[in-house]
Amino acid sequence: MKRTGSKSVRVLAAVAAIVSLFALQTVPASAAGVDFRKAVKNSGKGITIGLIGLDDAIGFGKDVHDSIAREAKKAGAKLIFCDGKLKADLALACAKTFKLKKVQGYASFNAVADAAPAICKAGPQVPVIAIDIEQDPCQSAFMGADNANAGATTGKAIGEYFKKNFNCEYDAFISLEDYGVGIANELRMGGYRSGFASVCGAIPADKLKKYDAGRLDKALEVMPAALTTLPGKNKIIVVAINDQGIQGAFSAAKQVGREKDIYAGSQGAEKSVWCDIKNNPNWLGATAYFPERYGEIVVPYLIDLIKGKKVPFQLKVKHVAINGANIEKNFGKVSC
Amino acid sequence: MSNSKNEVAESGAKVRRRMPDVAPLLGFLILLTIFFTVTSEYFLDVDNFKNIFVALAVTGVVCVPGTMLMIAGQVDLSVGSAAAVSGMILGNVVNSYGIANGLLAVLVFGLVIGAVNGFFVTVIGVNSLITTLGTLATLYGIALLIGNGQTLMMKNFEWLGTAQPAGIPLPIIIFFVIAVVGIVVLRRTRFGRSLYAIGSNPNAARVVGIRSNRILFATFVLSGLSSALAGAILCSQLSAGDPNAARGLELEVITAIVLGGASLAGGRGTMWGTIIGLTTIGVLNNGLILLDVPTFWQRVAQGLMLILAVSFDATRERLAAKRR
Amino acid sequence: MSNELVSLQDIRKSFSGVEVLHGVDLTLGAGEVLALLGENGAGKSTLVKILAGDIEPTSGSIDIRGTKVAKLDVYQARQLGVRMIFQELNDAPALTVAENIFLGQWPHSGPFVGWNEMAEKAKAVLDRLEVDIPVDAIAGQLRVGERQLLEIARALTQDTKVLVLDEPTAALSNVEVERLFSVMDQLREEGVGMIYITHRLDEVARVADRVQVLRDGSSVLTVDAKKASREDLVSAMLGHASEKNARPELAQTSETAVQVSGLTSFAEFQNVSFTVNRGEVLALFGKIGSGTSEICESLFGLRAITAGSVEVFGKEYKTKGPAHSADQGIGYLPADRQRLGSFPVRSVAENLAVRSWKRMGKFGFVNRLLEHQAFNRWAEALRIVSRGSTQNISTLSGGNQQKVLLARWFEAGVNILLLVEPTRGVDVGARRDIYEIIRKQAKESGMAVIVATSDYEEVVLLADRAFVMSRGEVVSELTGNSVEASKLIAAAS
Repeated sequence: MKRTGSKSVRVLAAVAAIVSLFALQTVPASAAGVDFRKAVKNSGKGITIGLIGLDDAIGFGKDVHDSIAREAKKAGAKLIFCDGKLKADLALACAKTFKLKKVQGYASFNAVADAAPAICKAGPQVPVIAIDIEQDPCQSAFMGADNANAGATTGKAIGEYFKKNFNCEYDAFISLEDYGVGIANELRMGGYRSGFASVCGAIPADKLKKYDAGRLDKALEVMPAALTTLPGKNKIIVVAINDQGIQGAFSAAKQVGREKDIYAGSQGAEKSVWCDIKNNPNWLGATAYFPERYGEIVVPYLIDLIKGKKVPFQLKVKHVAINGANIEKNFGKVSC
Repeated sequence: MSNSKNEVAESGAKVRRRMPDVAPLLGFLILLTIFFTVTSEYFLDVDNFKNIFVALAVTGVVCVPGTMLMIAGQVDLSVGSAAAVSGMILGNVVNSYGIANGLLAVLVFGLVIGAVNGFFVTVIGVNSLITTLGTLATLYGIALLIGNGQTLMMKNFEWLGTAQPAGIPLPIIIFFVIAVVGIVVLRRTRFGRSLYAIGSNPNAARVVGIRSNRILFATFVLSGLSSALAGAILCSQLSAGDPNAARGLELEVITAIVLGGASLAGGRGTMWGTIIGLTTIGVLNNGLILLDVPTFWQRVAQGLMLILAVSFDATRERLAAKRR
Repeated sequence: MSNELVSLQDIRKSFSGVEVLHGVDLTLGAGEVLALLGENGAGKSTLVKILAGDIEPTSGSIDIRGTKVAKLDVYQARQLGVRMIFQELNDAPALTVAENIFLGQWPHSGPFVGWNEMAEKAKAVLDRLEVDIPVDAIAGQLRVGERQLLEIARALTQDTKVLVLDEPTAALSNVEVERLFSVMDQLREEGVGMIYITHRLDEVARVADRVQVLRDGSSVLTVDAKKASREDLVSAMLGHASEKNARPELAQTSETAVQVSGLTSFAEFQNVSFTVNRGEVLALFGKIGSGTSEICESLFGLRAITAGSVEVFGKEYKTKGPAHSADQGIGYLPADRQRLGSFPVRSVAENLAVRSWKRMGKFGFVNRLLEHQAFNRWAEALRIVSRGSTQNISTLSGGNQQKVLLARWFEAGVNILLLVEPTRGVDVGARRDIYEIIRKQAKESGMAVIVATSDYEEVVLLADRAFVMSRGEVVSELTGNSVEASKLIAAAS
């Protein structure tokens, strides 16, 4: 009983952490973002770098880890990985190990920003790239997602679609939010609205409907009722804080036979929804975060830092709104 | 204790009995140490051993009263959550009212949570597993409430977790002192011996006139205090309070104690055994990281090693029983 | 013999190189009851465990129902119809009577337990034993004697050809014992062979056809039960002629230690009054359930007192519980050694010293050397056989365990000692040691002793005076030389 208890608590914590980690960063004025750079062969020869992982038991963290390992290998650098498992004391122990093993630079995906000073102090005094969570005071550069920009990217894509096809006419703008994650919700959902407004103008209050239903099960629960309040309407925009919310929205719409009435945008573009995006023309966009390409920023820039080159502080991912037309260009062949 | 002649005479009789108890695990630990020394150039290093024992110190502090409770047939599952709350309290109070008040608040918290657990187990008579499962959940909630689900940064109080008087990290010294007290209390005091009696046969303990409830209550209070101290050390190390800190500490504690030869049924176990069990886990975790073993494989290896180590002990006991 | 069920030939067994059975033969015929006697450590338990497949002999041959068994295991022994009933309870206290009777063999259809069928069958077997226990009662709430009968009932429900009873009557009341004997008579008629291990010589003539005596791992006497005299058996067991059941030299004291007036605890016992002097041994004799052990429990604070008063050395005595009683210099030896007496995984020294720690060091410390010294001192005085002071108490024989628990209170230096069934499950030799040491301690330290017992022989050998109880009331008082077996039995029934 104890085991299952702690297990479920752990899973909950993991989910809370992965979402809240986006909330923890203090987002500076939206930078344009940097391009992914494939590592140059032998550029890291003789260099040892470290990575404090978020938690390999979480898909996002594992993707980031794998991509950094891949790029480090390409560059010929030696990577020492140490899993922080969402715990600050483990991240602290990792930093000490890095010192012992004399790493020349490391990337930190430590989940507890407030513990960063202690971790910085305990680790080797070498260049550090923070991943998604601020690692003050030792971060030389910050790489990661840009929530406001991520929301705006798909918001704009939806706006452009509606301008082209419906002359910016729409019946409602349903926002499936998750108030539990704090500031990240504001940034992402606000980003949708500002991105959309930049094409089709501000959304009138009577058309904007917000629900605390960002998760799959909540969306399934809320959407049928929301659609009932919009009888006969067939130009309904639905945006959600992640992919699962939109999965739920489409399932719910399908149940009442109205899956053609909604036009959706989501955040993540995770592998699990690639098929849906490819086959569903009404899924207008899903903002990609590219955890599987983080290494293409972390590794080359970390090597630059170690070699004493100047590197911009902001190394934000350039988000892309993924849809059926461009999905294979970004992720390769998607077979369903 | 000052009577060294007694010591010698007594240990002569005891060595025969005690040695085989811890010997298999100690042998396993030595093998493990040799293995990592050979396979990793970083392992046999003063700084690395500091790292190992600093990482153990927090768990170790809680293991001391944990062993006492286990010997008495009780368990405290709330230690992890209590440590998390302690860290949150310390961070908040230190930031606003200074270090002395922070430590005082943590001390009071430790006493209170220990007394609450002790009250429900000894006065109301709720099974300790259930009681502390309840306080585990309650305290986790409180930890989240204190920081509204967020971590908090603590300023200017790093020495408890990071000071190194005479080159030895303070957490290691604290653990060492508490462990020595634990060894003496368990082996040489009425209180310690009563814990063995209670765990061995609670009914007989009552009939023989041992005040079991008082003793158990006091042990739960010790457990609460040590959890609070562990939380404070952790918080000071990180200079941050984290409601998710020390998550799963209770399982680490129970693992170390059982690995050290204590019986889940009570009546059996030693402080030395727990210390060796704890060190085995610490060395294993550290060595696997040094060898760059992928994390998923680390978990597999940790699980298998645990079973292997306990099997050693079980086999020894079976062989001993056969000989008899 | 054509109807021979069991034939053990030249059985030898060594533990750690020490031979404990030196070539013992044993035969058992169908419908025969063989009484197996011997002091603890004589090898009875080892021998019957070999028969049950529990222990493998070092050498010797085993023949069961005409089958020569090369290597007997527990499963095979069961297949051949061998069943054991132990003195210690092997039941599941949380389950019902019916479930316990069919433990592990529950009547079922498919995966489902047939509750009604089980209840009916359980009722039938209990009727056969003439026991009136509801089949849906919870076993743990029954008396020890009743639980013992459940074990016998369990053996009866299975196809039993050879039944080994290891001191089954130790915890039974006289009525229950007689009931068991009549069941054994019935089984004898059905052709079941029985091996009956006991310490009570008076039972041998009543129940057995043949007697075999073991001493120090050898068979020393095998005779027809009708022809065996009590003296012969005792001398065969002990290896020398025994003295007659002589009354001890009585205590010459007059200072009152305990005065009990009108003591009552609900319906368990009512209006009991007596006094005990310093250095005196008072017996409370009666069958199980007559209230004798309950009086001791009340005096020690384990049971509520609803009326009456107690004075100890002239002062009113009240207790808040066992710890409080013990602090006031009162000791208590419970009947149920396993459950209430010993600390099973701890050393004998610790078990002995547990009440004396306060004296064995200052400021809450315990000097463990004193613990070991205390054990060695008492081991010598009480002839406790052990491998040393660090031996785990549960590996000692019953008699030796009991001596350790007695020494616990002697070492603590109590003024008043309450003993409940102090020699239950203890062999004859150890029993005499225990009586001797109790009397010696009482005389030397001036301790007052109250013994609650259902064994009249114990009263005769141990007590200065006796109160006989029945149904919670004192029915008679015997003093001095009028304490005789016949009078005790007559008064109690």
